[in-house]
Amino acid sequence: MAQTTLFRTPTCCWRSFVRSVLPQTQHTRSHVSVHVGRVEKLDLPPGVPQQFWSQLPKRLRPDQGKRKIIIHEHPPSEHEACKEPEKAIHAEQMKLLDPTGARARLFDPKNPDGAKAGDIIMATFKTGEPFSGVALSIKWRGPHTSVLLRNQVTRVGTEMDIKVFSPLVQSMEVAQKATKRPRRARLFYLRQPKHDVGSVQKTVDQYLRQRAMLTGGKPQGGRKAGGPRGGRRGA
Amino acid sequence: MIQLKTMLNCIDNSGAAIVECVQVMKKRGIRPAANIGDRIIVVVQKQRSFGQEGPGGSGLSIANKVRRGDIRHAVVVRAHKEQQRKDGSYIRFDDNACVLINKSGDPIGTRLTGVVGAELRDKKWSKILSLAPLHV
Repeated sequence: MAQTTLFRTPTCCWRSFVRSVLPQTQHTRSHVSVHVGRVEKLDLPPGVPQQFWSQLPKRLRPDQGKRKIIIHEHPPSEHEACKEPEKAIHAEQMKLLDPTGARARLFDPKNPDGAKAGDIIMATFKTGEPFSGVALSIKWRGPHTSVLLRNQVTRVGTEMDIKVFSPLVQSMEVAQKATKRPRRARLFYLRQPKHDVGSVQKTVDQYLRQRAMLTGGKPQGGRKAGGPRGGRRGA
Repeated sequence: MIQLKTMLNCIDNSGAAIVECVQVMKKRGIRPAANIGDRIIVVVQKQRSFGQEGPGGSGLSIANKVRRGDIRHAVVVRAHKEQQRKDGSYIRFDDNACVLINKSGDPIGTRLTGVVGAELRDKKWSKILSLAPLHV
């Protein structure tokens, strides 16, 4: 047969000749798989005598009833008991940290007379060291509410982020409200030398003097070292 | 975050004005960073002018105790990176500043200008705290 094809094809076209010869050898099958199809399930013949029951799997024995499914009761829902646990805990903590609610009112964002960014705030601590400064930002986070105060102490810019409801904070007072409502919520631009308000010690001292005159006591809570020593350096 | 190559202000009257950090002591890591109260090794880069000491130092008017190029130990007293305190508050200053000390831990200068961080108290730098005009 190969002889005849060789005879018929022109001798120059070797490629087509090889193509016509090679496939014949390649198409021989070496492996045959026969598709069988699904094995059909046979039903159990009816009326199996009792002597053969022991050979059957348990679930097929005629005396076996339906499988019992145990359904457990839901445990009582925690969500139903307390819909907003975070709020509840915050309220509980606030009751502990701020029993009178005065400081919460001062730092209430809805309170028009409350502390806002841009105000000069004075904080005194239980240890007796006050810190005052311009409020750059107030983070309202429930009991974790904090206020970022900036001041220039001995001509060095100092910033302190104070937790408002911390038990170590004795008092928080607004020494001076911002003259103009700032058009930002956070006044980080006050860090730039161009906008820096500088030391607020004078304003705080004046506020303390005024408060002392009104209450009739001695001015308290002022920064001891900030007064005479800072003044000598012209802070 | 004071690390290798950080330039710091020197706020004592030892004679150094600007120093450069070359080593952070007792910290490990790829780039150990010092904060307030940490000990570092510095190189004096800029001296204070001699005239500044004249009227304040009265008759003593000592020459600068350190010179440019000196390698000294120092304690960080102010850092620009905010640092959390135990009560949750944060403190940060506008500059990085240090005080030169000798190897036994006593300050070289006799006076400090400017505020220092209160973290020095926890780290037992009481001699520096007593020299400082203020601490916050």
